[in-house]
Amino acid sequence: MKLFAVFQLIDFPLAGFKSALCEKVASKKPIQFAMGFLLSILSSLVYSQTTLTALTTPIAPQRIASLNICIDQLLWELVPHERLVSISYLTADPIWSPIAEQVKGMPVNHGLAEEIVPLKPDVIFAGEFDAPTAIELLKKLNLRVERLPLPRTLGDINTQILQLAELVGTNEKAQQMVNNIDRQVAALQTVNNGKTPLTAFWYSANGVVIGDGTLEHELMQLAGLRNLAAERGMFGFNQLDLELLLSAKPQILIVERGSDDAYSLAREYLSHPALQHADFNVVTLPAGLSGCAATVISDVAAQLKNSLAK
Amino acid sequence: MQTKISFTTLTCLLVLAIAIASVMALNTGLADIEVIKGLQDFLNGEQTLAANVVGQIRLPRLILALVIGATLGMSGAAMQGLLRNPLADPGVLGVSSGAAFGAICTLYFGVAASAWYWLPGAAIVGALFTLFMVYVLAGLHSSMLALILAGTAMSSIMVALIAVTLNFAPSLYAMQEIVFWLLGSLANRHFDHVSIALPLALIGWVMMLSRSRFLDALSLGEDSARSLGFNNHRERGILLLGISIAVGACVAVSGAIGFIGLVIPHLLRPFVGYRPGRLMLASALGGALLLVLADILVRQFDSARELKIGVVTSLIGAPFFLLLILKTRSRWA
Amino acid sequence: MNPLPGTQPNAQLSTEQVCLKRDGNSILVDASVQLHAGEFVGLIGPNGAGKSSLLRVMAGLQQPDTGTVSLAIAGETSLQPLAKIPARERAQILAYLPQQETPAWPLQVEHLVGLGRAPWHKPMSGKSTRDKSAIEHALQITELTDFRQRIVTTLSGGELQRTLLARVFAGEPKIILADEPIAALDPYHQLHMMELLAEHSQQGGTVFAALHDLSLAARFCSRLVLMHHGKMVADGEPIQVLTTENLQQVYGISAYVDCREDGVVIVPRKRVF
Repeated sequence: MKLFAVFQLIDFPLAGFKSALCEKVASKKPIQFAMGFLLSILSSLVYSQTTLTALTTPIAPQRIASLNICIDQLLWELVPHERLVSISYLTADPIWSPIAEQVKGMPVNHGLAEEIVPLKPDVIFAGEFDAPTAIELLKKLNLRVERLPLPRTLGDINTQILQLAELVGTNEKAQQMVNNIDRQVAALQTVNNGKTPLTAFWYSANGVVIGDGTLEHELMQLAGLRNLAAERGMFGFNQLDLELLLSAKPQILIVERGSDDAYSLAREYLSHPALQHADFNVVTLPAGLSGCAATVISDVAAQLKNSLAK
Repeated sequence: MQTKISFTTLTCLLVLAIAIASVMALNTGLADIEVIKGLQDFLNGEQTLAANVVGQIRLPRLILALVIGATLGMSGAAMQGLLRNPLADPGVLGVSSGAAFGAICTLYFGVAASAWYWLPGAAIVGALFTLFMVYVLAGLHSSMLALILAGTAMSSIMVALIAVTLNFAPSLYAMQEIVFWLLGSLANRHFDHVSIALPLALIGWVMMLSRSRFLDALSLGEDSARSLGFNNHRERGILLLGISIAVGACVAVSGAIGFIGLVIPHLLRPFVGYRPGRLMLASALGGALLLVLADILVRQFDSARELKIGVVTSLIGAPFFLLLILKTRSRWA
Repeated sequence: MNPLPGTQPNAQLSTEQVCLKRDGNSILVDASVQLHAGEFVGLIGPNGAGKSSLLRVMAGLQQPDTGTVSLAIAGETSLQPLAKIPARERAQILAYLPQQETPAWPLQVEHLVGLGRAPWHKPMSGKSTRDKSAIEHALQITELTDFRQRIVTTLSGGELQRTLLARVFAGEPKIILADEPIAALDPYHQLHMMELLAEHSQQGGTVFAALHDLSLAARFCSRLVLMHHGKMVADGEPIQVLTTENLQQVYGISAYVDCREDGVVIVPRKRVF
């Protein structure tokens, strides 16, 4: 598209040049002709240049609203905070959000169109499953809504970061984030190089183990671990009987460190004496992967690498 | 109507049945291990897989099934003896709802996370507080009817409060957790739970069993019992306190398991000559047996979705209760 | 200790000026009566006279608003206030047979009679030989030995009442307070019950029974106490109590009263206004 515009613009001085040339051939003033020709060339070049810039650099949205806690966390990293006019109330809740302290004072919304519309945002971000009725309404009111899908693989995470950055105009920072993630992931791959793969379970709350088709599984694969849950044919999140877990004799048990406000019955599964007395190593990772993966993934990968290296 | 069997014979039979059921229970579970070897290893302090599974998973679960079943059976017999009515169960007093509400509060406010004993502690406090409120509502020296009415009122209040916590549960996750806890389960309980339930249950048992003579005399009526030298109010208070402590401790550990206190005494009554005192001990044994068997049943099914033991007892108990009402109705008709 | 004023030397159970009010109504007004060993005293009066309440107060089941109830206990020369006597000790001396209490459970006769031994039971022991013999004796005198395995809910009215009385006897009390013990019985069993109670008094015990049947009361009781509106109206021998005046004022009836060799006979004739 940009190239076509350039041709059009070149065509214009060319056309002028042709007509001017015809004219000047008729008259006998060569210097004025040359000057006029030069001027028209220059002006058209300048004109095309500015237009080009204008077309290739869209004005970045200055008023950004978001209905999704995970997108909020990314936005917090990527854009200057003055440009955020509304974030999800969950982002300000310490139970759900690691940046709750930092976003204190920011205007929050509860996913209601009424809260968003008066703020006149340039763009509204929402997650794949968020507030469908609110989004419908906002679109009807001719507001720009961008829906971002839930990242399901590591690749998805990078794509989402870059896509978001594209929409808000902060490509550099995003690229940094992506590079960091790639770096940690690459480091992870070097951990178990050449050695026999260790067997492991990723043990979540409520006795749930994490199987194939998840980010956790991907990380385990990269780290060269054998995911015993996947080997049992488990896909996604499934509850596994404690006796079966012990019988499978994993060498490593990966658990997530819960926030202090996590509900206890779920955590109780992890403190069962049978697990204490069993014969495997426990790797504790920062929590949040099943929540907002994008912001946590590099830390998780780094921690996993460090723990396994021991 | 009465079955000719001596009390000693009945007791021996029940104990034998419990022993058999216990062996079956230790052999129930998804891990493929040698139970006897595992038990030996566990007692020797060795850390093999079998020792771990049998000693840390199956054994505490069995002990809890026995303790909780015995408590619920005995409490049911005690309540029915006290109220002189076969339709009573410990829930009538409201203490199981109170215990449940106490536990749910800790889940709701996230306090349960900080230390494992918060939830059981709150449940026991909930049970005792409910008993206290029942006495406040009915008066210290009130009739049994007044106590029942107050107990029903307190139970309704507690159930309503539980509904409130469900309504305002901070997340779907929390709500699910509360609901599942309410259904009652013995899965993944360990010796910490036993250390809560067992001592308190024992205290409750002693308090209840020592009132055997009073419950027997109560068959003649409140006035006759008093004239025979019993201090009715004191005996009743000790009995109710014993029930509250024991039931509170059990609900604290397992959630709400119902119908055992209703079904077991009713089944065993003909075998003890309808004597309320003896019925308490027999019901303890019967309740322990029933809960161990129910726990074995629960583990026969797919472990992905755990079948809650409270559901099993309800499925057995509700039709039984219906049958009971129909029988009683025909007797009065 | 000085004997309480107004009591005779061998009184067993005494009430002094007992008053009881409930919901503003006077149930008992200055009720005073003394019971002695060997007496079979009949408590008579119309419905609502306060007979049941008096018996309950005397049994220690109800605290009076004013007045005292005192009981003779072993080892003490004078009567002790009832409230101060431990319940168990009181129960060994004083038995109470309430009005028409159906047993809550279908128990065996032998077991129900055995419940009367409760005041004598030691905490952790089974039945002693004394318990067994007392129960046996109680079954014998009430002619229930063949009934011992029967279930109480399968008994007739008369048999059940005998069983409840056997329970009272099993406790070996000195004093029996009975509230309408023969109310729903046929003549045969009424006579039997009265004979049993009379025999208890003849053997040195004391019986104080609330009765509706004036005839039987007059025949078997050595003494009658007449109550009306919570007050004691008359206390003495049957012929002294069952005067025309008393019958008219208290019961509102006139009756045929006669003295025969086996006791006083009284037959209500008609209502008098």
